[in-house]
Amino acid sequence: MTALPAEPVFEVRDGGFVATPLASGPWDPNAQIGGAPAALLARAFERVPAAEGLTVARLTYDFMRPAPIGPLEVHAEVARPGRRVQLLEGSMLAEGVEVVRARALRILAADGAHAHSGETAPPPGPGQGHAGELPGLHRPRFATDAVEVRFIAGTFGGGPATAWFRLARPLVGDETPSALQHLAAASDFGAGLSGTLPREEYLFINADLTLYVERQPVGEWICLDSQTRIVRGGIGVAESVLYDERGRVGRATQALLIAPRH
Amino acid sequence: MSATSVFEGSNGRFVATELGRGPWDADALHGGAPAALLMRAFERLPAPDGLSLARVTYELLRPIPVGPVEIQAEIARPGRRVQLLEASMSAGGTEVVRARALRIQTADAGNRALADTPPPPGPATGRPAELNAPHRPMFAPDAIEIRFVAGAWGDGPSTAWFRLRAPIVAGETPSELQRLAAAGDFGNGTSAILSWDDYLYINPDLTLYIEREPTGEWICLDSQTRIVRGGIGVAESVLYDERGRVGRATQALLVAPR
Repeated sequence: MTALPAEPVFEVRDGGFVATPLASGPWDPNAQIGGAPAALLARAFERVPAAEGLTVARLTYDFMRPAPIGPLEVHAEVARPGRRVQLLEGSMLAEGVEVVRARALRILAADGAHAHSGETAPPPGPGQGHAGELPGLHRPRFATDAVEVRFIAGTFGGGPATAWFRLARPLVGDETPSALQHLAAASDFGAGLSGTLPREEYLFINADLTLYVERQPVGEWICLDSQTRIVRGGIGVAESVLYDERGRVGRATQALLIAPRH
Repeated sequence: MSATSVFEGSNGRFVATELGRGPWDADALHGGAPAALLMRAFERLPAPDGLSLARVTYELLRPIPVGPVEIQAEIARPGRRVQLLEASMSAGGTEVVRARALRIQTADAGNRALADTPPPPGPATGRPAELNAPHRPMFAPDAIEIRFVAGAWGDGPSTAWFRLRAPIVAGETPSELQRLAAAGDFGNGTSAILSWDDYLYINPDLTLYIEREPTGEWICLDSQTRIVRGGIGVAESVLYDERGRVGRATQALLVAPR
């Protein structure tokens, strides 16, 4: 395990959290990128007790309003208890206003005896990737300063692309991030990674993020094999197949608000 | 007299008929039936011009009985360009399904928008499904017609067209989105890789991403189930209408020996 530089994405204060500038997205130095609250809410869900053998199957995030850099409250609770299936609900608030609403579904790990699918092999590993150019002007920000990126195919914002991501800082305080937190932090990059619209001309923001987790990831590095589709008269959707260094672990999907800037 | 619609009723109070029954339990509905009825509830919530349904997530919390159900739906977060909706279905005062929908302004990407992805061969070229029907009537085949164009029921990856042949609500023609929701819950059945007799593979959720609103009556699912050892079973279905790709349905699965 690599030692992480001390400054975290979120500081703990007064029973709540404070988003640091390391949580900021490319658009606005005062607003968080989706991966930061996604990882913090994944942590909140991990801390809700579950019956033995349950594992996270899905995380759904609705980004209701811009999440500011600054003080935040995070809540998570069991909405539907169960021995084999459990539904959790969570939210992030800033100054009492809900900015993210999330749900997590936990299910008993599959027991299919000998009828399992094999692992799907991952793309070439992060050691074979290169650090790419990332858009955005201000520093520090999440994509360049909290996360390490290694491109395997494509470039940032140049259509279908494959890249590995790793949280290079603690998510919270001095904690080592869990593999699920690494996954959530990485999974919101699909739209930026595989988008093709010029940022100067178009707004493209993801209003949500859904993660299906086929197997709990291991290790720090998460790969996204991403593509964005925008059908005429439809809704833009970015889809990313997710891998750890052993193989496929799931899929992330984002629905996009796309509009000309003027 | 046998039922001719999946639900009867109006104004949030309905009675689920036997036409909505699923395969697992003769007293419980197939997920596609409540998915379609909740889709109808979302469609009836007002939206600013130009917004279109982008995602619906259903939490199938408990078995949904044949008999009276109540539906509630509301706008959880209003907005001119993005709107978050929530709905629930209850039976006998107990919540059985919870759903959330996201509406987004239709993308304006100018000439950078993509043409449609072509669909699989059409329903006219397909074969009728040979279903495991432990009781009748059932949602499939009695309320839904199925035509396979690749693979077969419960035999791994498959491609099949679905069409509602009964109204979701008595006296109404189902909308295209209701048809999509009704079909979207079949992926774990059509692409199953485990023996029906030996295993449960029930989906406690269903997520629909809708890249474009479908047209026409037929919806195609190109489905596959993956169950990695020590993981969670997931069934994924790319959705098409007769013009092309319209989205994806995903179901997480509870997989256990019976």
